[in-house]
Amino acid sequence: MIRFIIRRLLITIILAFVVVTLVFLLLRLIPGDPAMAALGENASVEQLELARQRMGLNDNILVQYGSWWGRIVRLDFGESLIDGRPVGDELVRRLPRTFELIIAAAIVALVVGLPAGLYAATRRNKTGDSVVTGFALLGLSMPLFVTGSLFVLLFGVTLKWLPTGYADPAENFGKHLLSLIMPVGALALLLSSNLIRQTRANMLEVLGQDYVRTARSKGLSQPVILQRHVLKNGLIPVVASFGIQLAGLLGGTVVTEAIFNWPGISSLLVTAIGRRDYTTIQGLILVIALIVLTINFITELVYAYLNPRIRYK
Amino acid sequence: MPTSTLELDTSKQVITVPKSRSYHRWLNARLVLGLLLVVPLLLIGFIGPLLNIGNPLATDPLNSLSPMGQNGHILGSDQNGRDVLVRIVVGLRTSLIVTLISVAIGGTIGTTAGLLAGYYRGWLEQIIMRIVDVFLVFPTILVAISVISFIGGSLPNLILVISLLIAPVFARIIHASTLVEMQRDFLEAARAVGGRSQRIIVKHLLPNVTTPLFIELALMLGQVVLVEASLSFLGLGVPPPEPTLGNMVSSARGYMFNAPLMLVWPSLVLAALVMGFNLTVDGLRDALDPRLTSTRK
Repeated sequence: MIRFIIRRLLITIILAFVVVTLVFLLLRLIPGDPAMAALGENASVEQLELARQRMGLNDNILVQYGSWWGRIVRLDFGESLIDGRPVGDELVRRLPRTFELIIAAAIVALVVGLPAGLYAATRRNKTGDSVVTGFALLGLSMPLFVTGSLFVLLFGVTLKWLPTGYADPAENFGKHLLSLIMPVGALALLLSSNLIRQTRANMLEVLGQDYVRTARSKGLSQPVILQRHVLKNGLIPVVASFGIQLAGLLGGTVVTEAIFNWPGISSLLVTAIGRRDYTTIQGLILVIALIVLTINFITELVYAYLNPRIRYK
Repeated sequence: MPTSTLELDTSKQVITVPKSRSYHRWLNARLVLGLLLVVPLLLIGFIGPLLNIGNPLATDPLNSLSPMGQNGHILGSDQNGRDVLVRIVVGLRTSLIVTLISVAIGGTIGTTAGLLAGYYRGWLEQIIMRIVDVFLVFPTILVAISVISFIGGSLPNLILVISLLIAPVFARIIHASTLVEMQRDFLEAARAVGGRSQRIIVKHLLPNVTTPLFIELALMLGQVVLVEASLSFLGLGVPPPEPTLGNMVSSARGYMFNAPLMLVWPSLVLAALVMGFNLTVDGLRDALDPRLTSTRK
């Protein structure tokens, strides 16, 4: 296990190195003059100069690359091109709000998705199975921005049951919980649909194994077979894919936060893209990418812990 | 009358395979339903704009936000008085163009890379598969957002970024299938009779990996529609005033109180398209590979 952890950790560090380099190159991908692209043609010479300085575009490219690493190590993500405030401060303020969404959605999806998937697998090709798989197919086919917008339209605008935007927990905690329902619901719908399909498929595969037939023929009851023999083996791949889904959810929050005016890191990304605030975009992408890497790393460890076969490959 | 009892028995026991059996598996509910959604949408998207249905950009400020069926707008008009139905048809075409071209390019690059890596092995395989690993670590939509926000949204940029992002997925799947096929005897035989590598790859390997390839192609179509629509929704797709389903939903959100249906129509079309592709994948899986259950991912 230790050797496995070290190997995965090394790979993760190499990937992190690649990511930091790629994000550095992103800004240099902009066709023409990045400062001009950020501020528009009407910007004065001094404004352009300040923007170039903030983006760190004034030196030789190797010097730029060196100082980029220097700043990353000190966790300094530069200053916003628009208002000059440090990007890092804004990140720290907004990160918990995004995590709140993701964690709540993951819990809801697990509570709904796992039992539903199991239920569908045990009732294969019966009405219950069709209802559950139909729901999962629908949830998977609706783009997040569509479900989100329809939620707002239905519960926020037409029925007026739920607040359509973020409510500060420090001011009104009850309202904050209410404001969580719609964004978490939209994310959880997508996540649980995936989970249902994964769980059902894996359970069906395990249910078809010889040892399950053996267990049944020696007279074990269905609940015991499920608990003792099916669940443990069937859920291993589900855990692995759930981790990947969770990382993908960071992409999903970009859309969700935009719809529900949720002041997390993803909506900051959308605002920054709209204003061409390249230094903020750069910092955000870097942080999101590193979070994804961390989630992937943890997923692999959990997977290896659950499934000893993977460690010795 | 049969002369021997033996003959009688066997003729009863033999289950004749009905003639319809060969195409019976293609008639599964999911595939039929999926195609019933996808094919009409494809026809509407590609043939619709060619018919004389009007200009999606023609504004009519006096008749803005008109409800369904009024002022000659079947599905109403938007905030600038542009016809919603015409914009949906043209927007659907944009979605389909981006999706089909990127999946074609990405699929070709990925399949070629996967076949080469699986056939030649060695350093070529290492290089290709390590690049694939790096690409697959990050969620597609995130990378697409990052890159497009820097290079700008336009039709060619979208196609470029999306096809580069999906190529690794194809490479990984085709690589895995190629490794399995390489163990089979007919490949050994093909090499033993002195077949050139190029010929072996095209004539022997490629036809044997078409099942996973088709399934992945159909799966990707649905996903790319989602990615393109999400990018458009965030203002990173084909720039306005050109209609796309994504930016129509995005702008309709501002008029939810006055014209809620403006939001519903493009959403429905999008959901139908993605659902059609998803159903098609499930159906294809059932038809092409009976060993797999239909909802496996």
